[in-house]
Amino acid sequence: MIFYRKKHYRVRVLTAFAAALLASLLLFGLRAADGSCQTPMSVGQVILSAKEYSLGQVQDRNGTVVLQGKGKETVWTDPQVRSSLEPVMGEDPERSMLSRSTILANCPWVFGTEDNRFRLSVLLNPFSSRKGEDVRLTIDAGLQTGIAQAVEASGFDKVCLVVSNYKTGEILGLYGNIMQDTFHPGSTIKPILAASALSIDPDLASYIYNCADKNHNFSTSSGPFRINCIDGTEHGSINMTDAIAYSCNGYFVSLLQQTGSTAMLKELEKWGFDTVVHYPQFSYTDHSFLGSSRQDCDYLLAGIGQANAKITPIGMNMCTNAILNHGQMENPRWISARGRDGRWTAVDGEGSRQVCSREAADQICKMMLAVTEKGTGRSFALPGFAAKTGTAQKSSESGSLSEKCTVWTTGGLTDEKMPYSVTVCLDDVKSTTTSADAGRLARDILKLVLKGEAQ
Amino acid sequence: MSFPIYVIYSAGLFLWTISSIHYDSPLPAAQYGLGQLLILAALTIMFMADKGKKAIPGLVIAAVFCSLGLSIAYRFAGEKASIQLEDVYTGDLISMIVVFFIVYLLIRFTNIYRIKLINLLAGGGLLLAVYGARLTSALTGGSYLYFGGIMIFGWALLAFPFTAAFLISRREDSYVRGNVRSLPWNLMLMLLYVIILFAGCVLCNEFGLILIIGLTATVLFFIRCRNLLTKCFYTISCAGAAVLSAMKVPHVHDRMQIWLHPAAAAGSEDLAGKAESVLYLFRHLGQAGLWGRGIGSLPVSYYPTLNTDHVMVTLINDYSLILAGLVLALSLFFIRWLLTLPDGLCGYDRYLNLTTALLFGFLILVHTASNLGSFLTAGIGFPWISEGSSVNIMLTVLLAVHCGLLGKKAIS
Ligand SMILES: [Zn+2]
Repeated sequence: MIFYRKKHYRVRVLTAFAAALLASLLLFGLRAADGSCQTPMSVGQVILSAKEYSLGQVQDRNGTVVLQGKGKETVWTDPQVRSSLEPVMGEDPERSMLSRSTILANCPWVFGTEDNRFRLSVLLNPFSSRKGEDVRLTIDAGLQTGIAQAVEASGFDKVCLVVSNYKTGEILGLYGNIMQDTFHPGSTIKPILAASALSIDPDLASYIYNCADKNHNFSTSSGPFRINCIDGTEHGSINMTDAIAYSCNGYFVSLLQQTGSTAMLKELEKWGFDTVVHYPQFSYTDHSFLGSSRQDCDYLLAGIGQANAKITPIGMNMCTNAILNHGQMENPRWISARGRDGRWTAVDGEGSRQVCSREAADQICKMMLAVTEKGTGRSFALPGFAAKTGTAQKSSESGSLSEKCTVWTTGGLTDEKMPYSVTVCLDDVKSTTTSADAGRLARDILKLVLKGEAQ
Repeated sequence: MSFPIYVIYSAGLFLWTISSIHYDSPLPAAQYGLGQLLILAALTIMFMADKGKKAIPGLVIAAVFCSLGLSIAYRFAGEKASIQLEDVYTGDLISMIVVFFIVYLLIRFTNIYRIKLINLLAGGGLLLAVYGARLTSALTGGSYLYFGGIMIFGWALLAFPFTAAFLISRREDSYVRGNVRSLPWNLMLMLLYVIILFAGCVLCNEFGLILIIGLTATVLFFIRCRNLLTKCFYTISCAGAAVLSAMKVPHVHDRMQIWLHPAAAAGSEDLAGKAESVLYLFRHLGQAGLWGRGIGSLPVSYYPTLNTDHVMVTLINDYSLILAGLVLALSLFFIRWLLTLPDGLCGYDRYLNLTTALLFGFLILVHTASNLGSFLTAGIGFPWISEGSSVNIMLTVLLAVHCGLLGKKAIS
């Protein structure tokens, strides 16, 4: 056999193959060991497959354990916290990992995905289950309990609710599937439209509209299109502040025609309408304004939060936060730190973007104070509470408008020492329920937040 | 000795795989079992037929790879469990075994494979297949991959060794004028042939094939060519072409970026999706550990090529680092076995055998290195472990060629 003869080309070929294979293993080993190829969250990180794992601790912002693994079981500490947080927690990785809209999908290490299997104890016992690391949330367990009680006391079935800090983007409390369920925003979209209009043309702040019967027919490319104010009210000659306070539909439809659709849609994209936005700590169902429609009447109807205008409660809360925070939208965050054996490392996710001009945001904020002072929000007034109410009619499956409504209140405290905002959305309610009911719930929750802070 | 070890290994793998994933239908398990028996039967026949037992070590290693392929196929069977045997690995296995015995007998007992016309037809046929694929087949994932229902990669694996061996083993005593020592005409012809082949591959966007054929042809050239200046010239022009394609062809450029800076590639928007599979092992080797995560743990929805181009990732993640290491060690033994040849065979046979061994070697090397992120990502499967019927059948032809040559009598 030629093979054993040294210096023969076949020996050299084999040596070369062995060397190349070894080199590729070595290069891989070096790159894997020094961690230079480690990257932050991505789809790859979200891949989870450990069949045997023990869930790490999920703690609230104060270190109270909310949820933890006991062996293979997961145990909630408090049933009321469970009832309010469960829809977005994502305990079942198989289901939650496909989207990033649950809490645990964004901190997969809790499932033991980062458990190092090269530890001696594991090498000796390869069948031991993977141990999850801990996570600390920005959510307040005490507030969560209060929210659950308040929602239960209110008697409404379908409640979505978000409380956050508009200066940091931290989510403090929530209820329901605020990430994925979308609703017509109704009149709560008006502050966003007003802020966008003022960003396009600051002079529109003095725009006056005469809310009279004859002025409710709006010209479109397919002929006149009629949009009434609620219950056929006529507000008379009305400025922007009063249009927000009393929620005049005609004013905003007319305003939309003033700015023109191209400029307006471009502004709205900054807020996240009709585009795709990713945040470091989660993704949610993006909001839409015009959607795929190009019809004038859909554009005008979207101006009063109907037609293709759809938004998640978290999306509405973030837009409200931007208005309260001088047009600066902070990245929403709900995970603050990752813990291993009691040592905590902060989880990055900070960042912000300007969605409208500072002047516009501050002007709109003042107008929203008028809502609780004299407008549609008088019944849930609270000092310094800038808010906006909204009612949207739900369309039935056939597309025609149904009896059921979605009612909203979104707003926050203008005092920057208490930078809290709250968004409440009650879905599938009868027309006897008004946005003021959502407002009262919102006010009660804000009081809870302030009480918790005072303690 | 290797035979009983193989039986124990394949039975163990079978039980492990079957107990890891349960399907509602008994079909996948039945197909896996049937495939296992077929391999065993073929191995037994060769064990009895091969007097010198020279072919056995390599065949056992090939059987190890095939039974891993069966396990991988079972693991990814999912809902596509099919009654049509031609759609599943076991069906491929039947064709592989039949083809193996036919080719083995032809090579061992006849000399028809040395007939000039057949070799010329193989060479011409390959060019036809590559250019024909561009004209006839539909785009799949940005490339034209099929001709006559068979992947051009498979056509190339089959035809290239014969063509290369034919061209390179022509006698050198007649030269096209000029310096006879710097570039013999047989090498020149081969280079010309490879260049025409490459042009076709570029048209089809089949860069994996260019890589494998290019590497193989380069080694053949370096072994055959005796002039240093020509070697230098060849190296420089190859390096130049590589740099040019890395810079100009977006496809290659992307892969270059991923290879050099995988983490940065994951952060960039255009490359993120493509870098994922490379980065997977970097991120998750620690969690897979020595013992793996268990069969069936990586969801195929994320990386659709886990049973083909990225089968090494599956092996390390699911089947354990130990098994993957074993596979690589066996691969080296396999290449060594492929390179071994009895003394006294003619030049054509020797080059045919060398080309076969080089092809296997580069397939294994490029697949492994690109799965580990140590080399450009290339869409190349691991012989027999990856699914891919036409390529696996053609590889079996090459295996049979080597087995046949091992049994051939030396020309006196
Ligand atoms: Zn009005």
